[in-house]
Amino acid sequence: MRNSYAFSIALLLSLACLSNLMAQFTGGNAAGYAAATSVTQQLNPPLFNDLQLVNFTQPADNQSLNINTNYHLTFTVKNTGTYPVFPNDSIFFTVKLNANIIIDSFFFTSPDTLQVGASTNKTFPNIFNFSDSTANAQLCVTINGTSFAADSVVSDNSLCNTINITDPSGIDSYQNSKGYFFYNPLSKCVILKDFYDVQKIYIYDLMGREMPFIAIAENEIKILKLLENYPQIIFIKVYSEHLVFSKKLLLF
Amino acid sequence: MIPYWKIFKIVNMSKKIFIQILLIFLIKICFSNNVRIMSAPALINPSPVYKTVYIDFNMSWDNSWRSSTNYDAVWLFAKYKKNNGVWEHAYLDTDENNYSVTNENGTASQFEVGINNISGTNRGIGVYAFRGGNGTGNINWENIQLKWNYGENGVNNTDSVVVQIFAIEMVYVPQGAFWIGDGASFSRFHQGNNQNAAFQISGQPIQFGTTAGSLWATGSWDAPTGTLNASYPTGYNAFYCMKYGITQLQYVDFLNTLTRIQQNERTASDLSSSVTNVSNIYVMSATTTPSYRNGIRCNNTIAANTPVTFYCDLNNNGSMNQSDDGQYIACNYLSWADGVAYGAWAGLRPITEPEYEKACRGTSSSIAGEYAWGTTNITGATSITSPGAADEKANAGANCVYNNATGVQGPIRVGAFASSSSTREASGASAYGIMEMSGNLWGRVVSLGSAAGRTFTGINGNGNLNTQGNAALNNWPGTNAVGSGLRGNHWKGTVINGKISARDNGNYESAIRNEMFGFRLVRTQ
Repeated sequence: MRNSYAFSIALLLSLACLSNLMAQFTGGNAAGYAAATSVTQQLNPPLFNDLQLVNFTQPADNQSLNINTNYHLTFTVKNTGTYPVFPNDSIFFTVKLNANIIIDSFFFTSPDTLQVGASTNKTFPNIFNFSDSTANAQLCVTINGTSFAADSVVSDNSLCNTINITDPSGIDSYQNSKGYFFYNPLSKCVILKDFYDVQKIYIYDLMGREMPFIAIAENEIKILKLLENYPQIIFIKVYSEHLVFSKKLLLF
Repeated sequence: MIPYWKIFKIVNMSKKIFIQILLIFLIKICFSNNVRIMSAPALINPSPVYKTVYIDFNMSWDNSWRSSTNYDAVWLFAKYKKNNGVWEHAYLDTDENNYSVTNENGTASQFEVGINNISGTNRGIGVYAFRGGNGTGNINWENIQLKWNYGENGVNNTDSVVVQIFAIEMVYVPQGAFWIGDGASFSRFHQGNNQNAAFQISGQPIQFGTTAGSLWATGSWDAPTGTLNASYPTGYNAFYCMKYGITQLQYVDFLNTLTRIQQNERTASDLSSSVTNVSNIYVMSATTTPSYRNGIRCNNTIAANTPVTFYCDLNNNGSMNQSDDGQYIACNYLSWADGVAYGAWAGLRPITEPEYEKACRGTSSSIAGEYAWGTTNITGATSITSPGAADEKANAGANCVYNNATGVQGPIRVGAFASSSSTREASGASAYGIMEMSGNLWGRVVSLGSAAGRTFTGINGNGNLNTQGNAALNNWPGTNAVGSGLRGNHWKGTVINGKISARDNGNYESAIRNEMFGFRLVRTQ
């Protein structure tokens, strides 16, 4: 009996091997080919929750601001779409100086349902701290990109105020805090300018995971080449001699 | 290999053993090979910032395998069309990590992207999907997601598109040294002036000549000198080969993505833009009824200027794509230009003469007069059952279509000789599991026996055709077929030309369409 079972197992194993060996030579109703067609589909669906910036209150137009001082940013967003914005819909904002230097990027999470046609005045404390003494700068708030909710696409929309930035202490005494960085979408590089005595640079994603990069220039202007598969939002942290800069950055 | 029934007879089995083996049989009987896309593709998770979207669909295919030697794969590529536009090739992402299967149903998936450098930029032309580990059996993958970089195609965020996914069963032919020539077949390759010695392709430069260690042939040969162009695909390096020749449904779907000018170029009937009445509705043979089992047709009345709709109608009853309309029959009446146009459009390329021999023989030593299935035994089909249907078969015992059998008179369905328990010889399969490499339809190859063929550098198709509808890739034999050849025999031919190493027509340059010409393509990863 034992021999019978042993033989049974051996035979089954042999057949299993035969089965494997023959797999490439077996077949049936073979077509070797298939195709299928989708329905017509819009790549990015209609703007269900079309949010618009309708008022940019602070800092007011032509206001003079001091460098290295914290200011509040106040603006009004209105739902001009055809569906309400639900709680936890996260809308992405970018604050830029002179149209291309990103000062900060942040999410606004709707605290309550924002009905169609309703406006919400948002205030963001300590949102910017100028490290550049450029006079007559354009400070712009932009809603752009896709929110976390799949059906909450917002259109590109910006409001800008002209501001005068003054630097009562002079550039030299604030050398350590002058640095800023921006993203070049063509080269997929982050460019760091005017940082003094940089000791370490880190890039993190939204989950706080460190992201790899390649430093391809190490002089006064530092260029960080981003690797593939970077997320849309990153945080850059720069350690200089006395200060630590940490900013969000939107990759276009 | 011992057939199962003999094993039954030999062994005095207990009832339990018998039931266990019977179960194995029942499982095997369920096997087939047909790849199917089980759901209409959907576009999901668009990114307006990066201008990417995922093409999501379900796909199954049966009797898949992966061993330490090789594996089967499905070549996936996509075409898209904007509102009222023309079909364009979709550039997929070049990173295999951006492809996934949400529900693998027990079979791990793996992807390999086919990349072409187009105008200095790498573009994903298509992607191979295959088993992630060794094993055999059916595959049922749900929510396969391919990343389409629509921004690279110049498509805007607000555009509406329709997308087609195409799936072609392929077989991986691994890198390795192999033999060409068998010491017996007409016009065979051989080593130096020793006509009985096969020549080994080992990855080293190939020197032509009649001295030992050099490559020469007994015919279909223009007596070259020097060394073979180093970029000519010799078959030493790995490549993927279509498991079957182009089927009639496959060619119909191709035609239906072309412009009217391109359609007219890729068919035999006059379908020029001003034509509105078509008498020769069977467009590949330019006849009024199906010819030699080719059932590709259009309607009698067509609109001027706009693309024509083609379909299969082998039973000639005017209803399109019925279950016996020959969708899976190998497509004949393909000219060289037709075949390479399909290849360029699908991101594939023509096969070379030595690649043909490797795809048939594998790395084994040559056997004099062997066919693609590795023996000299051949049984021609004399009749067909379920003609035109998905389960079309030849008479029992046949493993090849050749010799102009009265009961056949044309090519047979691809994979028709493979059954749930067939051996290599019975199914007419090559060493790697590639079907119908001997018989059915002439295989078209890039010749090694002509100077024009030897300039071929193996560039893969990039998904695109020129305005006229022709392939336009550097160093491919052109529409005049100069540099091409024929291998593998056909349904009308005699037994001689079906041998792996027979190359009486190895540099026969024919640009015409006829009932014996089919096409099979490959791609270098």
